[in-house]
Amino acid sequence: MAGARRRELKKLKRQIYKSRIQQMRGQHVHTTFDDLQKKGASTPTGFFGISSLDTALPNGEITAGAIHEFFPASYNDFPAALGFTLCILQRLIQQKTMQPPSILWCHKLDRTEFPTLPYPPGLSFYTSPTLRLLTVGSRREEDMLWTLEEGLSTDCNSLIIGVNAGTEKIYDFTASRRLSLRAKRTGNRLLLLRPYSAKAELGRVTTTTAVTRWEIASQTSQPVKYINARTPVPGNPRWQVALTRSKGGKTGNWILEWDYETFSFHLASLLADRKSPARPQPRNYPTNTLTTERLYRTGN
Amino acid sequence: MAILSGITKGMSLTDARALSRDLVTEKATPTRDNSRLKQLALWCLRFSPLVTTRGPDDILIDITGCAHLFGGEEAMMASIANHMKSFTLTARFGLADTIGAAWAAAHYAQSDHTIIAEQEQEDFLAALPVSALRLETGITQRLNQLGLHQIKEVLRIPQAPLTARFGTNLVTRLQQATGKAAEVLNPLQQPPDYELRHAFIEPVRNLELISVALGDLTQKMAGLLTAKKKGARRFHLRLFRVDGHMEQISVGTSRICHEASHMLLLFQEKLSSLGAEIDAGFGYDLMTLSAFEIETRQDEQSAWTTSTENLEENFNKLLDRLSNRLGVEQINHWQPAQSHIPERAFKYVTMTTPTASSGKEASNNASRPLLLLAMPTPITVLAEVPDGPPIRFEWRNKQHHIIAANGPERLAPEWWRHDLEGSQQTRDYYYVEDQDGHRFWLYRDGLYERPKDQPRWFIHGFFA
Repeated sequence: MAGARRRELKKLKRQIYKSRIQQMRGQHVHTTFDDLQKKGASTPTGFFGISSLDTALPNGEITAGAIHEFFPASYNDFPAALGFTLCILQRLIQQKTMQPPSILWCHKLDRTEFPTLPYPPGLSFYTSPTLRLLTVGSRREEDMLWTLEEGLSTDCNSLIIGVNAGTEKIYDFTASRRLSLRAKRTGNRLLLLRPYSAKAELGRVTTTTAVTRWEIASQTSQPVKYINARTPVPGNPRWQVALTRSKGGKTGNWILEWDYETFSFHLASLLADRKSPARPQPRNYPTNTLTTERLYRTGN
Repeated sequence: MAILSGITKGMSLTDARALSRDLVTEKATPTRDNSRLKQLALWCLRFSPLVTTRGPDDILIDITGCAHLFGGEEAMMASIANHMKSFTLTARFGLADTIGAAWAAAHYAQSDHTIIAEQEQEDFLAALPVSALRLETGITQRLNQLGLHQIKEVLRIPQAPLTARFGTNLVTRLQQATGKAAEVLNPLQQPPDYELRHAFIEPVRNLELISVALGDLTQKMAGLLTAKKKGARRFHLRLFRVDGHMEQISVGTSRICHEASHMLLLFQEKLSSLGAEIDAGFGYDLMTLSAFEIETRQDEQSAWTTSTENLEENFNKLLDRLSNRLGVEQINHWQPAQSHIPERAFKYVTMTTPTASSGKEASNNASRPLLLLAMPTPITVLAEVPDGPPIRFEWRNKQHHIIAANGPERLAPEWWRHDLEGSQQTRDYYYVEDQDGHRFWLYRDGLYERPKDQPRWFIHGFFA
């Protein structure tokens, strides 16, 4: 009898305790929210953390369920384009817009100068070293597109990266439409690295259903000088990033720097000592006129 | 015709031409004959799973337990003979309890179709010449010289002196033919654990009809596997053409599979990707579906929620489809390896490789490039001797002026490993940036201060 009563009592106590906690929690949330409102809370940091760039993106984000295309500006810029793509991937993981990702890396096996698979120890520069990639190689473009489609249509991959460094023959509007429809259904993103030879200037029709299209060129970094060193040390990687298509956003042109310690982008800032010669100075070394915070805007 | 005019085996062509004016000659093509024979043998898989080829012109079929499916031994032989006739092949048939006796029957019997009843092979063999024992010609000749022409004469002699005089081969063959010693038939194809067949009434050329029949077969196979609580990892679809050709399509799965829909999907993808490559000839009259690598299935609780298990299953299905279309070796993930030499610090392994739990995590090392060349490319470099960073280098006919460099990072070779090829010199790695902002990973193989070394420069990787 006494046991039953005790049990009853315990139950009651627990209920009271629970309700109190709930109360406290509710109050807490309420006040903080209020506080934020009063302070005119700063908008949450955007995708890139650079306001001019974030406003140019459609809805300020790398849209889920869509294709995003990346072009190297020239043949030699392939590593830069790949690096930038990986930085985007890291930002996506950081923004928690994605579950801890399972990433499907589809690449076309071609006889190119550049390998199409990343060197895993080097990945830590761009993204978390514990990243798990499933790589799928295909010899023909048809197979690669098929793999992309299959990857997009299952709900077990959150991100698909397609890398084609060789030649592109059959990827066109129809193919991209097919891929986007699949992506839209599952909400997966496709980051597609296309060969530089497929760029519009080289006489190909390149209308695709990509939501954003980027063009990446390497830029000289801001070298770090040490007192005793004969040559300066390369600084953080810098790229000239052009957003040439942004559906519902704006296009533009930026010079970005990737900070691998904080995994964040910065706008490359002005070099104070412009004339400081880097040793050894090559004859036709272009003066670094592009290192500025000014934006080069094109389009609307 | 040729035999009638007196032409025999081993005659020279001129002699033969002299005997028969309108003699038709063909060049001998042993390799082609052999491959055709093999094809025909594969086609014979429709009669039994245990089929192999022997010598230049023999096909062996083990019909143990199969004859009743074709209406008994005689009916089966007649059926095979009919097919062979329709391929315009002249064939001789022998059926016996042992491989040796069947061979002798096919080669030395009076009739083209010989069936030797159970346990009567010894009586049958007795009257045949010794060459029916599948012996080397040397032994046959010596037996003949000794006056031993028929097998019954050899059978009468005790085995010990025979072995002493002719070696073990003769006795072994004798015992194999009479059934006193076992002989192994090494099948061309591994026999399946389960096989289902679907015969078409009319030969079928249309792939769609095959798909429909395949749907039927997969359903049956799924039913069979489910009833026995089994699952298989490999399936073969065999299409038998009316003109003696067999097409085989195989799919594998990463987990044991017992679902009809999954099997069907994998096969259909294979079929559609093969598409035009499949030559249906005059059509298929039989198809079989066989299951290999059978394992007992664990009971699985169907998930309440769309939890991770469901994802896992979907993921495995995706893997199956990718690996069946592109090949298992194309689907990889990477593992760190126990080495500090850049090209050996990791490896891409296939999905079937178990994850090695080597404690070494990928180090958080910003000095490694994003892309690494599988083979370092030699380049010409202008650099200060002995160990200054590069100033200029030429790669792909283009001059790269270096404006910033980080290094050297010195990596000693793995002296404790002797199985390695290539240069085993100390490397100095530099991270350099050229005037256009491209970033490279270069190294000098060998040190100038070591008299034995021969320093050379290589490009090994690219930074973004």
